[in-house]
Amino acid sequence: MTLLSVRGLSKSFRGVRALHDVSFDVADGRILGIIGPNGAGKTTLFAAVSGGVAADAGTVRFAGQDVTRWPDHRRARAGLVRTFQLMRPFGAMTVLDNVAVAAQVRASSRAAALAAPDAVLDRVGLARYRDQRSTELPAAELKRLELARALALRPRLLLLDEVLAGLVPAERGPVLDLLGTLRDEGITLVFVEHVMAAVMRLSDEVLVLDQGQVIAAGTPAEVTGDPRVVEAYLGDEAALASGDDGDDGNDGNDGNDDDADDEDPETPC
Amino acid sequence: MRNLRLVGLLAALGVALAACGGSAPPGTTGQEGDQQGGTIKIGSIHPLTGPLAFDGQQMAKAGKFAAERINAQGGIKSLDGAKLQVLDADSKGEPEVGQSEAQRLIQEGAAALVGPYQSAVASNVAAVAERNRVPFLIDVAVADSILEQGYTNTFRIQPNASSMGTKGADYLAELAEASGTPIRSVAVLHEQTDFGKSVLAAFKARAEGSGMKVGPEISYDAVNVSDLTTEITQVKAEGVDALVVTGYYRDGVLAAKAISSVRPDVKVVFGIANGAFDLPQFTSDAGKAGEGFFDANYHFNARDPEMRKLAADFKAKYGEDIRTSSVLAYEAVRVIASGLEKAGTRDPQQLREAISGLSLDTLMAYPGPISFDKTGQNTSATPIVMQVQGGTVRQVFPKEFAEAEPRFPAPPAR
Amino acid sequence: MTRRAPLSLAARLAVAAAVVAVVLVLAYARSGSGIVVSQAVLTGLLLGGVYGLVAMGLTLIFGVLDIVNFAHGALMTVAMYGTVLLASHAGLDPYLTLLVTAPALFGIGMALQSGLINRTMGSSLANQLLLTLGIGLLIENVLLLSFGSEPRSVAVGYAAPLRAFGAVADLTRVIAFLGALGLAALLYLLLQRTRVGTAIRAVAANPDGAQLVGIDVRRMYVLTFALGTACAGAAGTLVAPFVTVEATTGELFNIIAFVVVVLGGMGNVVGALVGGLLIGLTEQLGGVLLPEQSPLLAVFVVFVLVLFLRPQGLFGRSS
Repeated sequence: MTLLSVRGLSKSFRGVRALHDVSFDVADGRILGIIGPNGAGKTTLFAAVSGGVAADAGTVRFAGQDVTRWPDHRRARAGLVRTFQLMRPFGAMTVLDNVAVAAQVRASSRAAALAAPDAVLDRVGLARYRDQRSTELPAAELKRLELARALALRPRLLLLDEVLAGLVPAERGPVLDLLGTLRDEGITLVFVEHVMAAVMRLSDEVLVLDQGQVIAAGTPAEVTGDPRVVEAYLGDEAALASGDDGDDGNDGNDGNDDDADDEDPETPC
Repeated sequence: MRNLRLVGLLAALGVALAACGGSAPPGTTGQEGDQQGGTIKIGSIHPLTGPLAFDGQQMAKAGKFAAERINAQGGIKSLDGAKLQVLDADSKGEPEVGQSEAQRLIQEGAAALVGPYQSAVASNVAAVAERNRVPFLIDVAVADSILEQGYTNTFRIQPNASSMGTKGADYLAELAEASGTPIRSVAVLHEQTDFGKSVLAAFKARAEGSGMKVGPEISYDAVNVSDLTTEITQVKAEGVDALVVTGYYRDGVLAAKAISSVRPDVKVVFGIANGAFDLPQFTSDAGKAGEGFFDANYHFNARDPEMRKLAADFKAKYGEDIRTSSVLAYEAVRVIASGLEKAGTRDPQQLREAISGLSLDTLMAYPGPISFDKTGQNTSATPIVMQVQGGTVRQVFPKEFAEAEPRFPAPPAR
Repeated sequence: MTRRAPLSLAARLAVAAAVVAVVLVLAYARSGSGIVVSQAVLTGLLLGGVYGLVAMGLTLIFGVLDIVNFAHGALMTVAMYGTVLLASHAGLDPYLTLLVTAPALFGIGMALQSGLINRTMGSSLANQLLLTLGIGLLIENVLLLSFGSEPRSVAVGYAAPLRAFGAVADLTRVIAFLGALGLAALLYLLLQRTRVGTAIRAVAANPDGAQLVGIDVRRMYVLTFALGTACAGAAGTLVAPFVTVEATTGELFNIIAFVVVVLGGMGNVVGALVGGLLIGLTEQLGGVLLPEQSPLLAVFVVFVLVLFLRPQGLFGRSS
C-alpha cells in the first residue's frame, strides 16, 4: 500500500528553482534513500514533504489524505515526522524531558506519556543520559536524541535528514542497525544521505535528484549503474565507489565527507 | 509589509487617542470678527492626560467656565464687547510639551496664557512667555524659582513654596499655643522633588526659629511609591509630637492609610501644601483614617457667597465639585479679563502693564485682593488651614475664614 | 573557553544570606530601631510578592514569545477598573471579582495575541516593541476616556491592621501577598506538571523543535500570552483594595516588573518571584538606609550589582 505519494512538487526561492516537478511514491514498510550532489534540492524536498515550507505546486498525500496544505506540526501528529540535520533540542530541558514533550503529543493519557520516554531512550541507547541537560550531550548523542524524539511521536513514516552526518565511521554501524530495527517494526523510512555505502546497504529503493529534478529512481544497483547518475556526480566518483559501510574503523577510503553541509530549508540547496 | 503598517496604525491610534483628550482644534469656536468686538484668545495649558489629568482636566473646564460667564455678561466692554475664547492645550505633564504648546498658542494669536499646574512646566512656559512678551498667569505652580528669573511677563496667583512652608510653621505654632498643647518636635514626610524640598526648607527655617525641633525628614518618590508603612514606622520610632506631610494626592491617601495601620503616637497630622488632605475626595478614599488631619494650603473661600454660587453653578454644569486648583484657573482668566478691561487694548504689553497694576477681589481665601509685586507674585496669596471634621473638610484658621473651630490636638483615629 | 566551577546552590544561598544579614545590620544602625527594620522587611516582602506576580506574567511572555510586553501595566489597570466597577455596582467583595477579572484578562490576552501580535512574530524586535507600546498607550487612553481622570478606590470592609514582631501590615496587603504566592504556585505547577505547560516550556526552549514534534506553536503563543495577561489581571485585582486606581496606576508596577524580570533571569518564572521579593525588600530597606534618596536608587544599585556579577540574572542560564 502506498503510504506517501508525491506528485509534481515544485518550489522556487526568489526565482531560483529548488524543486521542479518531483514525483515519487513510497510503499508502506519500505525504505527509500534520496541522493544527489550538493544543491540538488534534497533538503528542500524534505521541507516540502514534512510541511516546513509550502510548495508552490504539486501535492503530497500521506496515509490516504491530502496533506499539501497542512502545517508541519499537524503532519507530525499524523505520523509524518522529520528529523533535522541541525539538531534542535530543547536545550534547557533534560534528555528525558525532551523525549517526554514529544511523547505526550501522541499519548492517549498522562500515564502513557510518562512511561514512553524511558522506553524510547533505552531503544536508542541514551538511557544513561536520561537526567542530563540536552545541551551537555556530545554531537553523536544529540543525533540519537533527535531520533528518540521522533520515535516518541510513534511515526508511521520517518524523514531522516543526513542522520549519519557528523558521525565517525565507528559510530555509524550502530545507527544503521537501529534504523534496520525500525523497519522491522513497520516504520517506513525515507532518508537523505551522502554516505553512499549506507544508502546502498539500507535502501529498498533509491531516488536521485539533480538540480531540483528526479533524474533516476530504482533499486540501488540500478541507480549506481545509471550513466546519468554518474554524470551528475562527475568528479565525485569516489563517492559512488565507496564501499565503506562503517563496520570497521581502519579503512581510510572515505572520500565522501560531504556532511559538512549546512542545509537550511529556507534557502535553496 | 502588512506587519509594519499594522504596527504603525496601532501606534498612531494610541498616540492619537492620547492627544484626543487634549487640545481642541484651534479656531473652531468663534471666528475673528464674527461678532461686534471680535474675540480674544487665551491659551490654557494643563495636564489633560497622564497621571495629573484629574486636576488638569477640571482646571481646563474652570478656565472655560470663567470665559463663558464673562462673555455672558457682555464680554470685555472696553473692547466693544469682545468675547474671550479659551484655547485648551495638553501639557501631558511634560515641560517640553508645555513649552511647545505655549509656542503654538502664541503663534495662533493668544493674547495671554494660563496654566500649567506643575513647576517644571511653568518654568519652560514662563521662558516662552518672556521671549514673546505675552502675559502668563500661573494658576498653580509652587516653586519659588519660577519668579526669580527676572521675568516681567509671568504672574502667579497662588502662594509660593516658601510662603506655604513659612505660614504653615506659623499656623502650627499658633494652633498649638491657642490650645495649650506644646509641639516641640516635628517629623516631616515629604515627596522628594523640588516641591517637597522647598516647602520643607521654608517650614524648617521658620519652625526651628520658633523653637521646634524638626526631624526626621523622610522623603519618598511620589511617582513610584505604593506603601508608606515603613516611613510612618520611622516616624513612630522617633516619638515626635507632630507629623508634617507634603505631597500629592495619591501618596496622601497612602500616608493616611499607613498612619492608621502603624498608629504613631503623634498629637497632630499637619499637611502643608498637601494635595490630598483638603479634598472632599480624600475623606471617602481614606475613610476614617483621615479624620482630624489638618492642611495648611491654598483654598477657595468657602464662606464667600459668590464662591458658593460658583461652586453650585459649576456642579450644575459639569457634575463635579470644584476644587481649589480649578478656582485658581478660574481666577487666572478673570485677572486677564480685568486686565483687558483696564487696558482697553489687546496689545499684550499693555495688558501686562494693566495686570501688574491690578487690584482684584478674589474668591480665594486670601486676606486681601489679588495684586502683584515686582516679581509677579500675588502679595495677598497665603495658605489657610483646613481640617477634616466628621468626614468633611472645613476651613478652621485664621478666624476670618473659619467655618468651624479647630480641634487641636487631633491624634490620628484609632 | 575556560569554565569556572559554578558555585553550588548551598554556597549561593549562603552568600545571599550573608548579604541580607549585612544589609539588615546596616539598616538597624541607620534607623536605630529594630521595629523600623522589621517593618521594612515585612512591607518589602508583602510588596515583593505582588511585584513577583506581575513579573511572572511578563517573564513568561518574554521567555516563550521573546516579546517585551509594554502593555502589561495597562492590562493590569484594566483589571483594577474591573474590580472597582464590580465591587461598587454589583456589591461584590473585591477578591471575588478575581473570578471575573482573571478569565476576562485571559480572554483579552488571547484576542490581542491571536488578532494582532501573532502577525508580528518573526518580524523585527522594533516592530513588536512598537506594537505592544501602542497597545499599552491605546488601553490607557481608552480607560481615561471611559472612566475619566477621577481617582477611584475600592475598600474592603474587613480590612484591619495585622501585627507581628512589632511591625504592622494591613490585611489587604497580606491577602495580596498570599494570593500572589498561591497563583505563582499554580503557574509553576501548570508549567511543570501538565501537558500544556510542558508544551509551553518546549516552545520556550526551541520553537522550531517544538513545531517539529507536533506542537502548534502559534497556538502556544496565544495561550502563553493569555496566561501572562491573566497574571497581570490577577495582580491588578489583588492590589485594587489598597491602591488609588487611575488610568496610569499600572505603569508603576510595569517598570518595577521589568527590573524584576531582568534581575530574575528572563523567562524564568521562579526567578521572577524571587526577584520580586528581592526588589521589594531592597526598596524598603533602601528607604531606611538612605532616607534622603529615592528608594529606587537602592533598587538601581542592586540591579546593576546583580547583573554585573551574573549577567544572565539570578536564575537565568548563561547561554
